[in-house]
Amino acid sequence: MNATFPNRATVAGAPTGERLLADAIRRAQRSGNQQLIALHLGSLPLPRPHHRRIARALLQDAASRRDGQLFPMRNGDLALVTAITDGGGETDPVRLATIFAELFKADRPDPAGILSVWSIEHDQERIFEYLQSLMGQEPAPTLDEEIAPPPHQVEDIASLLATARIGDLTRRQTAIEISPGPASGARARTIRPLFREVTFSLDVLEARLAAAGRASSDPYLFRHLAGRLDLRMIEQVAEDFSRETSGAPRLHLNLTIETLLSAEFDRFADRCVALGRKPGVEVPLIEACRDPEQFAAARTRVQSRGFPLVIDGISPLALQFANPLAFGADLVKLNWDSTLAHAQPEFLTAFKRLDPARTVLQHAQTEDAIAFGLDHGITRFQGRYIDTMLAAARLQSCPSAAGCNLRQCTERGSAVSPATRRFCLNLPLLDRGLPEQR
Amino acid sequence: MNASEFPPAFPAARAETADLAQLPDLTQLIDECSRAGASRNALLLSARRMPADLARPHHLRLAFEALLPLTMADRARVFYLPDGSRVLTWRGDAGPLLTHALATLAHLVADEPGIAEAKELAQLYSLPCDGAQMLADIHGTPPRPISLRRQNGKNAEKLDPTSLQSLEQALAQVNVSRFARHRRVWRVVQGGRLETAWDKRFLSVTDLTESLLPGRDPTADPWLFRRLTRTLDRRLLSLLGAPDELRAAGPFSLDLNVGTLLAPEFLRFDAAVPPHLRGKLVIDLLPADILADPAGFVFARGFARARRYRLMIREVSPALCAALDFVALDPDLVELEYSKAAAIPECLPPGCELMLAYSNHSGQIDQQARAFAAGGGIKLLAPRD
Repeated sequence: MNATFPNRATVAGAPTGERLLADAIRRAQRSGNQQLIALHLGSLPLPRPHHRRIARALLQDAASRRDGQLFPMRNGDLALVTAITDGGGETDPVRLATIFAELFKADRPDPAGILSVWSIEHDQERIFEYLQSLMGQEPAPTLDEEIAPPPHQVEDIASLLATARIGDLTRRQTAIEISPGPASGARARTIRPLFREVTFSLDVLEARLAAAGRASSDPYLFRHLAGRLDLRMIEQVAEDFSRETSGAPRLHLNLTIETLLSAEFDRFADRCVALGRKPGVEVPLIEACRDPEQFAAARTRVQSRGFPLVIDGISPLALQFANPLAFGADLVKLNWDSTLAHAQPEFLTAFKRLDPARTVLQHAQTEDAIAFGLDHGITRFQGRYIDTMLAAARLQSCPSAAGCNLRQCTERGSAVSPATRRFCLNLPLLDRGLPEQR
Repeated sequence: MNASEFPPAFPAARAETADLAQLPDLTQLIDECSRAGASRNALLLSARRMPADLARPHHLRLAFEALLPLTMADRARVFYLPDGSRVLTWRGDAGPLLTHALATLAHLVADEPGIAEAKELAQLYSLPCDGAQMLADIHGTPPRPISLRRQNGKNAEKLDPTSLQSLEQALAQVNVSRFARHRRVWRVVQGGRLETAWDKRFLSVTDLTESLLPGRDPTADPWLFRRLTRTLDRRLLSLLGAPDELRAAGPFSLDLNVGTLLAPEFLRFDAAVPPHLRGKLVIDLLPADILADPAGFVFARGFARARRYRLMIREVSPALCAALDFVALDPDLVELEYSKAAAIPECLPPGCELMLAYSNHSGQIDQQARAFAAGGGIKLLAPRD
């Protein structure tokens, strides 16, 4: 590498940050004993506004203490040119690497790789490669600040609900159980619909409102809204009971603890028992953690009626911090995400807390989710991949499917609205979810 | 933490170090005065004479702080009684110190219905001759009923999104310093004595709502209340981040949301933290808030460590204690809620310290909680209302 690296041709046509960095590197080369610290924020799979804000504050602090210069790159990376320290101190690469590895522990599969430290004197080739790689990268997406929507937006949604046809705003999704068939081998597995969860579609609600911001982006406003939706949900489920054809799987609904402790729930539960139905009740993990004593009271009311209680919304990371089985639920729902395909040891240790026979792997969007679950003893699944799988099985055996395609059958399977369901000419099969297996 | 290392915010440093059992010491002082023929003056600030809803620790603390000038008197001593009452004793004529203290107390309670004069709350005695009367008053005064103003508050309507929005907008415009409160966290040191570990700083939600949105109960809807705490976080941080606000401050803790730690307001606050407080500030986080955004928590934890804040998982009830993995959460402190079912977590990360929070309404609970803490090796105590 020559003494004028990186030469101006390297960064010709480059954005301002990259050009300024190249200039700073050239100057640093002349003064000697300088380093380039690159924080690869551009490589984050799911960048969030605070990543950049906090990282920039920490690096800026390091820069100001050691007379360094910080440069934002177009792809989102931050590059710091500063003097090499003797060890310790704010710009000590080992210290910075430890800090940033800790910060991005949950955001990158290899948190240590978020930071690169190169000596400007000795690592010229790597710095050159880095600058070259920056040239070809897309600009970082502009991240909207995670500004919580105004509380009044909840009132707008609630007003809409008061007048809307509830069936148009709800969706249903079937969970299945996969079990080995009479013969051994993967092809001989049998599939059984386990339950069908009914939920409000917030996307539809918010799209109708066309409001700025999303109520669901604030977990607290969302939980408040969920409490207000409960009564409509109970009405919907009661209606489903009267309309559903025989053989449909058990219904599951999401309710808040306050609703479960209310007289409305008692009336609903009495009605279910009179009809011989035992719907499942799902409560998110954060509700259970917010008030475990109230949750325990609610659990007793649900389970005393013979209704199964499910702890919902357990992300792989949340599972590392809390043991959902400690709340005494009948089932727990673990969220699938693609990072589980290369699960870290911390997750696998936490995973051992779960009883696979009482676990549903939800948000199963791909075949990888099924493979992961089966490899780890989980046989219950819910998600878009399952919806498609069930629709494909229905199309194969349905005598009225001549004019239907896979997408239509999947959509009708998840619809509650008669407007969508009416196009299906085999509603009993649609409601069963799956043809009867011989 | 050594109490002498960080002087408390107000002048009566010696009033901040107290024995666990003070009533026997007071009896002993009366006996000694009687035997030695010495005389002392005493002032009883009676928690029982406060209306029940004004006898919370922060009310008593404010009333006691009004009396602090008296601790400058000759041979002044302070006695902390189990029900939250305090007795100050001193030798000779305190003159202007006493006048000043009573005037400040009178000013403090001037607007409270049901309290005609400050001397209803603070009674004076001459020891040893009034000793028996003082002890009888300590034990025998019936508690006052809840004041009419607060009774109305009990029937307040729930906060709804519209009123929450009004409250958030009002909060953006008012000076919240008048709602700022602090509550002491104690450390048990050798001989069972208590030293101030740090102050918990917070905004009084009750007083704030009464002032800005009367007739609403901010905590009735748990999720809207959690949302309100975010706004309160920001206002508290901007208050503490004001120039010179922290220059002479001692160690303190803040209840914050995970999202607040990652917000621009926290960066501004962090920039204002003086070097002498680095490593001595505690950020308290709720388990439900952590589980609402676990990835945000991991990031915030890394940032807090980098900036040398200590993290505490707060309000851990016995049921939560069994469900949380403290080793994975890796806090510096865990605040356990005292109850009869309270248990010590089986596994804690290395160096993690436990703190016991308990209601200080009754002396019996106070004693039971302290016995539980002593049995479990818990050195940090956080009595509260």
